[in-house]
Amino acid sequence: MNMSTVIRGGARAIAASRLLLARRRRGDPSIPPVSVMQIREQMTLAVGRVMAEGSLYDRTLAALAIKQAQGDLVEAAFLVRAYRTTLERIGTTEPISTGRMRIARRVATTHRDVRGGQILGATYDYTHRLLDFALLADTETTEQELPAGAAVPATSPALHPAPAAETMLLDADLLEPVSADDASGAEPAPDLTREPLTLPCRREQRLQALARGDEGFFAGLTYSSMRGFGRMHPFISDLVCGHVEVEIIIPETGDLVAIGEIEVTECRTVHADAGTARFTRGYGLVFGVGERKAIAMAVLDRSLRTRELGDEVVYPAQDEEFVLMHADNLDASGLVQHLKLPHYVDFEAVSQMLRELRRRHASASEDAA
Amino acid sequence: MQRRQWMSVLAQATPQEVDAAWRGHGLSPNFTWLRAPTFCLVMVRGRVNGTGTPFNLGEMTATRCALQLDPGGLGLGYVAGRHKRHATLAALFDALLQGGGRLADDLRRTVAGLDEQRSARHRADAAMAAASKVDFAMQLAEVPAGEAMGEDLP
Amino acid sequence: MSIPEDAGDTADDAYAFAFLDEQTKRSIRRAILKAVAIPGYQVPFVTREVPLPPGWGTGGIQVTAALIGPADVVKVIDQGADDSTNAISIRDFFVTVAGVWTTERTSEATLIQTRHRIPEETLQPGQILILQVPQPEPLRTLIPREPETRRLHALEDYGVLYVKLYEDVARHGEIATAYDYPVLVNDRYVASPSPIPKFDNPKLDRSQALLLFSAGRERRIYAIPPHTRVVSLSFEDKPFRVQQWDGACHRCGSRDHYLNAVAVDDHGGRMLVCSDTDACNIRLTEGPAQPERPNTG
Repeated sequence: MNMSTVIRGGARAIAASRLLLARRRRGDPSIPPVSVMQIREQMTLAVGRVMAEGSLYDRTLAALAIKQAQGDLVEAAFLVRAYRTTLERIGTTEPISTGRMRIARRVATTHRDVRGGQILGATYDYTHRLLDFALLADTETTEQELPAGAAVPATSPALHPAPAAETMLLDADLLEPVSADDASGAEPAPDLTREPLTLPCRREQRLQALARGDEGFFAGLTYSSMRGFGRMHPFISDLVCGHVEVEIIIPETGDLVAIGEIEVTECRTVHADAGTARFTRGYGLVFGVGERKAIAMAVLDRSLRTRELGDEVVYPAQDEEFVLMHADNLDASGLVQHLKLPHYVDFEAVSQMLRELRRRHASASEDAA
Repeated sequence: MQRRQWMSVLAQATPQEVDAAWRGHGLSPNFTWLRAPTFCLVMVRGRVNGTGTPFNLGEMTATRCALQLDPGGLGLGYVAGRHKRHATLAALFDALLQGGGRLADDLRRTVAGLDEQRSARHRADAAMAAASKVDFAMQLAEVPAGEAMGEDLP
Repeated sequence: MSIPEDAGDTADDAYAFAFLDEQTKRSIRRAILKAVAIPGYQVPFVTREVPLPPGWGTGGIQVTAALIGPADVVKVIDQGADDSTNAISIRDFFVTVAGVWTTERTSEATLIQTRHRIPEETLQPGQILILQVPQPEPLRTLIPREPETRRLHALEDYGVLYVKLYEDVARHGEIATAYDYPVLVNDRYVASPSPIPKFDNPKLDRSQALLLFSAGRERRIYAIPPHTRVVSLSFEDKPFRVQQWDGACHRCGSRDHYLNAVAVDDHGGRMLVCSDTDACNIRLTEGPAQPERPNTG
């Protein structure tokens, strides 16, 4: 056997692998390549997820990553995170004011109607999940006219008033006061991209970790907490999707300037607490349109307050270490897939150990016989 | 109109709108870069419970630049996203608007126009959202008196 | 000066891969210095996303990148081999972003990044070995919670680990750990040597090189400075023993290198080959080193 071939085949194989990947990504060459702009405009929910889990708001970059990753959104989030590393951070924004959101959608479930109204917006919630074969066509018909709806008020109607349901609960002294959560306004918020997560962690770190964590993992955990592996009986007091202004302080002048807008989804939940005879809160906020994620985040936020609110941690969804240490899909995917790396040195060591144990066991049996 | 106001309007206009506005003036001033347009990051912050203590939500891309007009005048451009031309034009507007005089007045009117374009866009978005607002008064009116209420929403 | 042309999203040019910026390098070096000051103690650090996935050597890559300079010569091995696919990938990365000199000769390298092996050739003063670590916490499989293991290290309370080793002896007649065999560093902290086979543990003891351990996904760095006493955990009546083989390397004839079994046919026939490709090459061309390294711990 030619040992040098066995050892040195690696580089050539890798080069071939990269070419094969490029061909696979392109697919059938007789079919036009998909454009990044098409993904950005027509796959906004995928773009939103990649921005949220890549922890970088840039719709074009997310769309590019999705194209490069052949639609694998975890791989795409990884590409976006790695790109993030190459840019310099120049500062933080003013905290966004969801109270001034330009609402595209708003759902409040605790009351039949609230000030500001229930705005259905663009959602799959009221569609029937039937495949639409008309979409197989390459061209699409022009938009239909919207039906005449409620009269549009002269002033900006869709600006989000202070969350109406919450205000009503606060007025009735049925909601835990906000100051209970506002423990540490003075210092700069902890940042997981600058200091590692230490447990137990502050609520700001928890929310940052939840905002960038894997949606599937959170949906499963939230599901578990609602089914019996937890005592979550959440109500959504407010779920909104829309655009908010982003403002920064210009370093050179000290002026507060709005540099653009981002789309976000915010979910507030309330949870009955017999002990204090009030509702407690959960909060979720994510980049893009991501209702499943925002809702799960809010419920988990509350669930992870279990110990803080004086209850015993029993279930995974209440366990801060279990949830937060396994939330990042880059870390999870990385370790799961690292099993594909060669492990033959350790395998040899373990095999030897097992053979030795069998020998030992066999000779012990012989001695006994 | 104060500097921070025109900077905000210029940043929040679309790159295409700012480009058209610039071309409308037919200017080509000479300038040197103090900082050529570079992509950077800003960390977006939210608030716990929407109104409480700030937390770090995630980063967004931005483009910034600084230039000096040849006769004098410093312009800054800070825009969301990766748009070098947009940032450059914003900085040029910024520098010229500070210069005063007839040109600055013209440019101020252009910026006001951009602001109005943005408001129009927002009104259109609001109208679309309002079309899907559930009108409970209309619902109640549709039900003949004496019949049981059905489901609120489809 | 001219106004950039593209009115839309600007493409590409921002991807000038400077890789680790100076600020990040500084923060990693601070972590390394702390680690060297407290041998075996796990120092938390902030990991930066790099173009390889977490779990694939990102900790090692960040430490190497933080230390690398124009005069360095880098060797990258995985399972002891320079041409293992992941080693090639990592070495390519450093060539691309740092334009650094590389080598397959252990003796020529100033920085050696490795996964799951320590080179057979004795390391010299001035060399730095950077080991990739998947799980830095030696107690993790016994105790899943980080605040608890942190406390046990602080209290120097390793009872739970010794109980596990004792149970192995009671049940199997010997300690059933073949790799990632825990060590006591500088008589103070118990550490994971990374998933090197226990065969390599003796090389840790009083090495003349600086040994750095880095876990990117777990976000911990620790160190064994040169000339530090490192002892593999054992009992007085159950001394630490390393792997041995019935046979020699088919290629170079060595009996004291770590050997891998390679299948020669479909019927379970196997031959033994050195895992460390550089050591195998040297032995093949130059014969056995004088004196041969003893195998015991």
